[in-house]
Amino acid sequence: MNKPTNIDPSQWLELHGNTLFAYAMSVLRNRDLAEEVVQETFLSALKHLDQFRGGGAEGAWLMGILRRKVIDQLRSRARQPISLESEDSLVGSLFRRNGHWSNSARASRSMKLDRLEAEEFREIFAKCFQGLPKSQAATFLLKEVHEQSCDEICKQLAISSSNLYVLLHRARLRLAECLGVRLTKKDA
Amino acid sequence: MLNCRDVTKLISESLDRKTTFVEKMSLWFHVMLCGFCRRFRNNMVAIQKMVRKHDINPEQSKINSSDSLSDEARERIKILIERNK
Repeated sequence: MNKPTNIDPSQWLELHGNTLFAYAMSVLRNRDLAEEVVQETFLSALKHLDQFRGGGAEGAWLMGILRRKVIDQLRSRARQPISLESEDSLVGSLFRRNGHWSNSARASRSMKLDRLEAEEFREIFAKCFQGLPKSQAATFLLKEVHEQSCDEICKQLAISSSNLYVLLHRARLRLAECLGVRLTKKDA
Repeated sequence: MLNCRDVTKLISESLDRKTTFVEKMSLWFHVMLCGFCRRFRNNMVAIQKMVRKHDINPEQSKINSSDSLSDEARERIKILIERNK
């Protein structure tokens, strides 16, 4: 079988190593795991070189493999029970015992997101996103950024739909709280 | 009657699944009366719109940061690639 001529594995690390790593790191938040996933990605790519049709971008092909490896990693983590029983303490502090908004949550002002420049929003949003617990970040990313269906996400992460809704609810409460705080600070 | 915590859960779920008629009605009723939940709902919709409109990907904004492979990992992977090429 002919190997595509435009592919050179010895360049991979130099050309794509950090991009792949940054992606894995941002989702997994763990240096060791992220490095392991990047390593697995290169090895798997070497094994399946014949599946790479030249012409397509090599980086995109590697990223595709990496994404699957990252999802595998998330899934194996999700199997370790996501502790849903324990209340998310930050989310808990937003409400009183009777389920009404707490005073501190009431005091925050409404966001005027439509007045924000895209770049400003991107920066603040990224900071808030980094503050999410891993399982919440993973669900929000798949749902709102990659726009996957809830069915797909549940399958990928091996969680029930009601667990998914709880995680997304918490992620959104946290993001709203964080964005609110940061935007208020900026205005002051 | 739903309290505000329940309502925010329902607002969140309405972005993820089809809500029932009864759910829609109780949501509408609560949000009409409660400014804090109304604000939460507006914020949720605004965040979703911003993310989609500007193609925000919180992962990508980190790529230029200090997140690069460690020297040890780099060495290890280099050797593995050469060996398996």
